Amino acid sequence: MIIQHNLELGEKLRILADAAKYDVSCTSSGADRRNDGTGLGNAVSSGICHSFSADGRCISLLKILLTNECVFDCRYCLNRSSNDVLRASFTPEEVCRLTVEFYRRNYIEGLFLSSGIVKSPGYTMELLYQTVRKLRTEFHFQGYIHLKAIPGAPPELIEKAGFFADRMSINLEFPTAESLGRLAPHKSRKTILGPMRQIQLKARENKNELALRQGGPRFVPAGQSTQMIIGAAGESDYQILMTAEALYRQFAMKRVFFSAFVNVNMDSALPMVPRAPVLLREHRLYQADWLLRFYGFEAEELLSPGRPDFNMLLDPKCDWALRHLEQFPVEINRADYHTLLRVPGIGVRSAGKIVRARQYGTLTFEDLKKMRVVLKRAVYFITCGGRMMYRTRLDEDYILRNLLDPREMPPVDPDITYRQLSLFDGEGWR
Amino acid sequence: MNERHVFYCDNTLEGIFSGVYQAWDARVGHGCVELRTEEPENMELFCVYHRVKTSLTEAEKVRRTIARQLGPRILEEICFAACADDPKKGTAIYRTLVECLSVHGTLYKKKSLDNLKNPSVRKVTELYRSVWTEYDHYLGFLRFQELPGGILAALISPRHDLLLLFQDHFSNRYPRERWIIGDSTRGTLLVHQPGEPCFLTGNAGKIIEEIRTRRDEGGDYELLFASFCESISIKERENDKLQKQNLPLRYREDMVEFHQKTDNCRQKCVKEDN
Repeated sequence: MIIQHNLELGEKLRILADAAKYDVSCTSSGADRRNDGTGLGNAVSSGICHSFSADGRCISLLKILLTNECVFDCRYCLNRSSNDVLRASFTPEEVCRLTVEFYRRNYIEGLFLSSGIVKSPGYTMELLYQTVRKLRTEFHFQGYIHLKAIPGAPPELIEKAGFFADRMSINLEFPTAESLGRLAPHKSRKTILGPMRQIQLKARENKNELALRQGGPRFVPAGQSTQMIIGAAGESDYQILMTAEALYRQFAMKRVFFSAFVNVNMDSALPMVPRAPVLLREHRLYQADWLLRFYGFEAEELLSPGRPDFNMLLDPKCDWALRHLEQFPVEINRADYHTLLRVPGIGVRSAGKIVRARQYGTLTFEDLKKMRVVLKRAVYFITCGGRMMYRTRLDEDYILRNLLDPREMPPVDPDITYRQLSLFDGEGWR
Repeated sequence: MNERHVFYCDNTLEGIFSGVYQAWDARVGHGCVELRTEEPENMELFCVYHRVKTSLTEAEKVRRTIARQLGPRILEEICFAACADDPKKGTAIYRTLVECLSVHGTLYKKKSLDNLKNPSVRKVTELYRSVWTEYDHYLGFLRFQELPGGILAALISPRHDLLLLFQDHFSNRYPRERWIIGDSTRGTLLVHQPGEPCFLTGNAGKIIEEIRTRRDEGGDYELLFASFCESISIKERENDKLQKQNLPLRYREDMVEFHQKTDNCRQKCVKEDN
């Protein structure tokens, strides 16, 4: 392990931002707080994206590690103790100064602070706690703070830190205990789920306290999130989605993030997955995650043990609709909001527009177009005034052929070349 | 045949609300009224032209009526639509208000902007959405730089007239800072002093030029942020199309991370030159 002391601030930032980039969460949503006039910053419930990096992901928070020195040896992690990479550490003062100066210039919405495990989980959590406490009390920072809870840290430290953070998270990493034990030997289900449950219960308790005494300190007001790595341990989409659903229901998660696996360590225990399919798989999981959270779907409706993976050619809602054609077509002027949400191509915004506008009169396809409801996919599944827009058949193969979007096709291996088939191709003819 | 009555008003919220007041008060028939914020290139036949003098009292009366009868949500949507860069916004706002305050509209009152079958209501909703989207982007994409004396200065080049919409967000975010935001498209400036309400000034071309010159010089934190943006991206996931979709090129002109050359970037440039 190469530990560099006396690095310049810029160099430290480069190393520790680079080390933090595989954490997916960068949202600044969920907390709504106005400035009280004594400090710097506020929080907006919808969150604000401040920039987008070259990979197209949002930059909302200053996402850094306090240090990338780590005593854990997780197989998939760039910062594992057995890796020979440059190590650096921020002081709490440096983190606070960077956050405040970036925030003043409107570069960021707040701080996302995580850390490698220095010495022990308890020691690391204490360092994180001291940093956020300093930022809140000495620098009077009132912007957004997302803080990582360290697996295995003492509960009292997590509780103290939660009063300074807007959101806390602890990564589940893998949907099954077996994969976790194999690829992250220093972590266990108990050390991850324990703090999750603690944060959930404390936040619930704190909400009830607030009802009695407004203005008191709030514990993790933006809730908690977690993340799972996709494509590293051989789990099916069904297992991952069922785990995500359980996390939403049993742990009151605000978000479950998915991270397409990148084999940064070239570890022999991990697969060398090609980039494009795993990214598309991650995309499908996010689409399904949206269906669970906003569209009233359940994981069992989308996948089953017999069909454990998503269709790579179709989004999960289209795929579901094609398997349930008996529920279509849906009449736009009569169907309730939840039925409209199940129509492919109609989202939360369009369904809301339709439900509100039809109070004023019967809607036609022309009205839907003018209201900017996208009909490209919906047209096979809806009627207006009892009629479909075109003469279409409610037939699975016919709709599938028309729906297939060449942009969503899996990428073709560039090494494959094609040639015209001849009539005499085949065994025995040449 | 009814003559059309065209009312010219200033291209400001007060100007448009004064136009609404005077056009309504003229009693020429709501269907014949057009509210414009730009002078025509050619005068038209069968058309009566009226010049509206902006009156704060009249504008306040219109604002109060909308707030009282239709609620704060519709007032906000109409105020955003009035900031749009669109020649048809005045007429759309006038006809929407006629629809909302008519007997039919008052049945629905605070929900009357949901009537997307009505073309004027649809237009106002579209304008609101367009202005709101740009405003929402700038809440994140606007970049301050520190001038001597600790003043924070930002420059933007928006399509719509957004400056006044920013005052609540930024004065709440930086209540103890002195900051200015310049609109280089219109040459206007929004100024904030601690403990005082924001104010807007026009003809600020010289100050805007000064801010631009200083911005190009750069500073330590500008460089640090550019380096951070470079480090946070995952090379295996690079996706230029997605980046352009989320952050259109027109915003990048005023964003420091796309101008500052970090050490890595300089090394790349040297390699390419060689």
